[in-house]
Amino acid sequence: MKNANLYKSFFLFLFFLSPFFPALAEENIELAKFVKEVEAEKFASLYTLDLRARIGQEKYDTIKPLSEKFSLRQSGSLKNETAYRITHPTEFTKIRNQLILSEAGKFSDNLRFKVSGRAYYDAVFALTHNFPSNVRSDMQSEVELRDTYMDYSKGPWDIRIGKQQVVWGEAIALFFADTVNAKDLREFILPDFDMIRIPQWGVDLEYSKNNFHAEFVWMPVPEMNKLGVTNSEFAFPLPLPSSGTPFTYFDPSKPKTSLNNSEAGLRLSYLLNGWDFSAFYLHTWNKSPVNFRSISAGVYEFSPAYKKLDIFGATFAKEINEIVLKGEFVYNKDDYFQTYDSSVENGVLRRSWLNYLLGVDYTFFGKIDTAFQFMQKVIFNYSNLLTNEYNVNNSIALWLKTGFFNGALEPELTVVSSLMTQDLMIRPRINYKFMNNWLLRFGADIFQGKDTGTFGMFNKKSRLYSELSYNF
Amino acid sequence: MKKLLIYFFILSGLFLYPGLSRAAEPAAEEILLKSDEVRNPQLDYTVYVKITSYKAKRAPLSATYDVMIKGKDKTVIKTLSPPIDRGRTMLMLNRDLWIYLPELSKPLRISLRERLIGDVANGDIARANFTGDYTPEIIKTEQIDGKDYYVLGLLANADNVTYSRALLWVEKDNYYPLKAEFYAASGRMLKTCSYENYKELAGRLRPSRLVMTDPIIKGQNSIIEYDNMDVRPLEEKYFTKDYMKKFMD
Repeated sequence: MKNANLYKSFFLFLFFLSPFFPALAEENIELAKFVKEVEAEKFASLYTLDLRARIGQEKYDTIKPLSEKFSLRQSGSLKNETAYRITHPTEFTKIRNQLILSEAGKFSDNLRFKVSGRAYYDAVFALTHNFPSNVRSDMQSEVELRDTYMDYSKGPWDIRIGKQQVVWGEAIALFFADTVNAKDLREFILPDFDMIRIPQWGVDLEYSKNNFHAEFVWMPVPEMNKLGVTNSEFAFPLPLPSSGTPFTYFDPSKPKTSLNNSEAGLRLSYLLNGWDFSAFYLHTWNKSPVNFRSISAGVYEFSPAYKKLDIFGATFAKEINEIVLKGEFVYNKDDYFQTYDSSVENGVLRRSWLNYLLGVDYTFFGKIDTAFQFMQKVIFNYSNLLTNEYNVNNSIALWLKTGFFNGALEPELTVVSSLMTQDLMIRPRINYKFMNNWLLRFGADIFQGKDTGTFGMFNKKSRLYSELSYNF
Repeated sequence: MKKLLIYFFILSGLFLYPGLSRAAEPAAEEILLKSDEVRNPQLDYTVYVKITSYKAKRAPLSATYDVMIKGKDKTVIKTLSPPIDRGRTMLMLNRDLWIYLPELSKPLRISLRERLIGDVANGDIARANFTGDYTPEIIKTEQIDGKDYYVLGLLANADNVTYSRALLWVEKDNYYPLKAEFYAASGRMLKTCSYENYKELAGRLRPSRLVMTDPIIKGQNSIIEYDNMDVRPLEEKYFTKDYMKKFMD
């Protein structure tokens, strides 16, 4: 409740204060109006080349120092996302209309802010009976505050305070070192990544000097992954020996906001002869609940709980002769793994594991952007009792993209496959940009392989989809 | 009298002998540097750039950018429009390149020859100077419309420079660039560029419009227009990949 009030206060503070700020700064309403008019003209024309000529050199010179003190910019998008399941039973799984609004501005060259929010309504629940009521109440509509923060900059120091995304890593199409923010996985990893990440309240302090960069992150308000509820399209299965096993499931309680429960991390980066190195440490939460289990009279009882996790990582990237090499290494210390084995008292075993990725990017014929990634997950002190896990699990990912008609039409293909479980995810799509503001997208998300695989578990959820968005 | 004749022949030789008279001309490196100084301020500056791509039988496609340049090898290009691409930001440090994509919210390494829009390569606007990227040589002098021009041959001095070779026409009197031709390593001409519409930008006359033309496909060209050039010190940290997220807003 306290947090909710804090969010509201911050949100209201920015929205109500911002329109008056030029007046406050200049103590002159007329001048402020003039500033806004010119700013509006600037934004309307997107700095058309004859701005100076149109408003005159004298006026332009007068206005420039003011605009450096305060400016505002609104942007956003309206989007329809429709998805249709192509495996039995074939039916619509999403008819979502989404509005994103963003207001960004600066009080001075050193002090900036952004407020953004998202609202959506999914008509599939009203127009069809494809999902039960628990899914409807979880996913039919949502209004949420997205990235909302203040930036302050002084010399080599920068600080961002507010609800934000902290993004580490080099990988395309997958989350590896990108471990700081909680994720909304109710649609697996299919939406755009900036929508999957849940912005978290926190402080991001950065120091940049020459080729060295240090970043300290502190997140006092724990945020956990959002997972699909039972019977939703991309719900993760519980670790049951068979689908008919009787079970009970208690919702996990989210960790409270406290100093003890806060997350913190440090990342150090250095650019040396074009080699971009970074190393990081993150004291965080395992943001998906650990399903502690007991068995009583053949009934599995799950009492999920969130647990702390220590993550160590390193990344690199370098371009050599137009070939971009990249890598990520992430070590998770004493993480929690599920087991079916009833002899393990709480159904959970702790193991450390390493996840790494090596990637190569190249543009063929100057036209086809290509990224190939090899990934390996290694579980130390491996036990056969771990559910759906291998001692060493290899995966590959391929991403291709090209453009036609000045980039207006962009076909794109992403394929990710786990070589051990022999399952894969294939994502072809075509983006068509038109009339400067519109994006039309058609695509398919195809899952194949065993039910136990990362992608195969959704082998009955393959879908076709379309997206139409208007950006402003 | 005899002495005078000797002096006359010596002085005539100095002025008329082509090899000696060429020695009085500036070196190719100096011409290229002065031509770079005409095109861009050699200090930190920001500039507004509009690129319009034309293709036969198609509506022109425009994009606008805020460009920040520090020294000779640090550039940030922030996309202002079209709205669908707004927030895309490119960073170039020497010849290392990153792109920040709002939908990913993170910077990715890319190569210099990837296309930005139409026929304009990333390097066309990210690399403000030829000096440093190319080794120049005076090929010849040429008269066009009554003006004398140096024709410089430019040879890329690294593999990842935007073009392998180029020819650049520079006016003798004032070092104003007139046009350029860019070639692949194979010798195939990739595009031509003409430097037009000289007007006052950041305190001196500079070309404010570059017309890049595809020599093979008729009617295909891109126009790069510059305006609001502003010379001012820019902080070092703006030119780091970790700062790119701050330009998104």
